[in-house]
Amino acid sequence: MLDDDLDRERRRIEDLRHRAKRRLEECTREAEGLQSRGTRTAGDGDATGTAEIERRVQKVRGRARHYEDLVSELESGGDALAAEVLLARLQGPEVDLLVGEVERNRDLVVQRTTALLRARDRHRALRHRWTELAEKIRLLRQTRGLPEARSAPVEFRINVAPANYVQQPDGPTYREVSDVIHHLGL
Amino acid sequence: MSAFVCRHTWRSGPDTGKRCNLGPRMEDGFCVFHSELDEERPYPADISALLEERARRGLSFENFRLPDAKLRRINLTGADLAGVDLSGVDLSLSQLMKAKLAKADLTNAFLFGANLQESDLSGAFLLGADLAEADLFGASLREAEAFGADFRRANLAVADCSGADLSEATLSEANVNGANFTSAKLADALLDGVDMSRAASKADLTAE
Repeated sequence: MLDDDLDRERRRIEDLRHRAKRRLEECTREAEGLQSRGTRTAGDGDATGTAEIERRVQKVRGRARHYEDLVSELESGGDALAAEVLLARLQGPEVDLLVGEVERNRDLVVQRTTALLRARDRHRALRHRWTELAEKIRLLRQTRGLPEARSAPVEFRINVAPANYVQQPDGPTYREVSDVIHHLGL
Repeated sequence: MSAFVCRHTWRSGPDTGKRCNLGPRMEDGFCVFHSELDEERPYPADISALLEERARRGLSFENFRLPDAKLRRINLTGADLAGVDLSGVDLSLSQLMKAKLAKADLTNAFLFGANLQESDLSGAFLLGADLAEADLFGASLREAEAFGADFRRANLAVADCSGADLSEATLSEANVNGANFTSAKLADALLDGVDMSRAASKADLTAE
């Protein structure tokens, strides 16, 4: 996997070298073109025009030197440069994004855990209330000679079985869900 | 011997109110990054690592002057470099994604192949800068002064170039899909191989 990354980086450097070389050639042509224009302008006795062209020639040559330096670096860098660039990339924005993501996810875990425990407490409160009501109903029926209840008792246990659990592609397994429910005492 | 303390006092960032402790010292009592002297600066050898670390820690670059610094392949993703003097700097192949470069001085800067996606270059000075092959996707060049800048084969897709001065700039073969050129000045700009019909809005192609 690392070799693939390094290979990709080498290809990218090679592509950049081609592009930089192309720019170097463009700068060289531009400087030559300006130079011959300058010669003509000087021949016409236009000192201001010649000076302006000379200024532009110097500027283009300065730019060409940047490209020469860059092409040379990209040509001689080889594997070391590819490794260096890859290292910079690996340590770069993705690491910072991951750090931010970890922070956000940490908050998310706390939020979801709080929500889960709140749901558990709600479930317990519902069970308690149901038990209270059922007891009152039972007592009323028993003491007043009323007919027995016809409704089935509510199932408060949370049953997760492999048959009724559909695992999402990036979701937890049946076993993981089952264990958490067990730990929650539900 | 006591450690050198630069004359600059931070006015923003986590060190607000504190004196700058960067070095080396320059003749005017400022550090090499804050000195107002107009002379060649003895930048430290590890300048790129130093600046990258500052960017990563979200430390301020307030009033930084980095003329002619060699920062090739530097990673300053998201860094706040607003108003920083980066004239003549070599930022070729650098990572400047989402960098804040508003009003930065990038006169004659060398930005070949730089990644400037979604960066803020509003009001930046790009006179004579070389941005050939740079990726400026979604960048803001609003009101930028880019007279004579070179954007050949640059990616300016969905960039905001409104009000920018691109007179005499080279945009040959640049990608301008969805770019906004409202009120941009493009007089004498080289537009060969540029499909301006793909831009989101048209520019002023006439000289003032």
